[in-house]
Amino acid sequence: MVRTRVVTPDPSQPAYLTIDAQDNSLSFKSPGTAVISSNGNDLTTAVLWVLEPNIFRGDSLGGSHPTLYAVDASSMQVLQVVYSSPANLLGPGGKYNAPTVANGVVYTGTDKITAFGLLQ
Amino acid sequence: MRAAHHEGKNLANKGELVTRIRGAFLVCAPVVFALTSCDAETKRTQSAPRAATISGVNWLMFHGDRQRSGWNANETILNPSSVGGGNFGVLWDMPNPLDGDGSGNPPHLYAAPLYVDNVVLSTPDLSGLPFSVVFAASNTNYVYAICAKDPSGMIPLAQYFGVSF
Repeated sequence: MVRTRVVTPDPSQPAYLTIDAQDNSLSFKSPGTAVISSNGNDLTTAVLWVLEPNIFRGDSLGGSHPTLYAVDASSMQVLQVVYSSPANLLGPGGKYNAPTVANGVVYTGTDKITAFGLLQ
Repeated sequence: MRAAHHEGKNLANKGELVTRIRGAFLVCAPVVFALTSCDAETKRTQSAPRAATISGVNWLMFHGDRQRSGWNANETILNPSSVGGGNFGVLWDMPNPLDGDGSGNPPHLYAAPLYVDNVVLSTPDLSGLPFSVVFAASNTNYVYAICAKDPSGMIPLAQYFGVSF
């Protein structure tokens, strides 16, 4: 998992990306694209969400047991996994799929919809 | 578009846990869905619609906006502290997979779920009742509208779009 940062050296020069932080212990096989939730522009509130099917690209979806990862986006040294869904909770599927975050709830699509959030 | 166009496949099982309300229609762009069933909670809240839960946060397309930013910058509940505080978990999980195709192949959701925070029913029975709805499209050509607040994850709406090419 790598966080990149947009660098704008000079208004006359094009912007480019540089590596801002990374965690080499966190790698995926065929994840969906990540989405980010935050409260405004406050990086300390930002969470990065990834749905990982835990299978390689050529593997059958039938044997997949996806995992939902939540990553603390604010850490500058190591991006910390603050939550991963229990193993085998999500149904087969989830390949290349991105979770949806709205109003305190994270929705994942596999062979069904599962909702995550703060428990009462 | 007629009601109960779902051919009664898996909805028959899922419907055991819900109160069915037939003949009602939900108007929601871009498709008018036939309302085949709805959760009991919905009926209970007719006198007290869920307006208090409406926030205006919507996720209407892949990665949320036309720039495909994938960024919901209006999330006030989930943050590293709350998510990592040990109180984050499964709110609801659909008890059964979605509908497979006619050949017995299982469903998969390749499209990201969409979320609409304020879908207002126009049926006389549920007139003015706002819904928070998750839309899901499967590779078996079904599109579902699911009560986002429903703890049982039931399917209030399903539309079959025919055999894929």
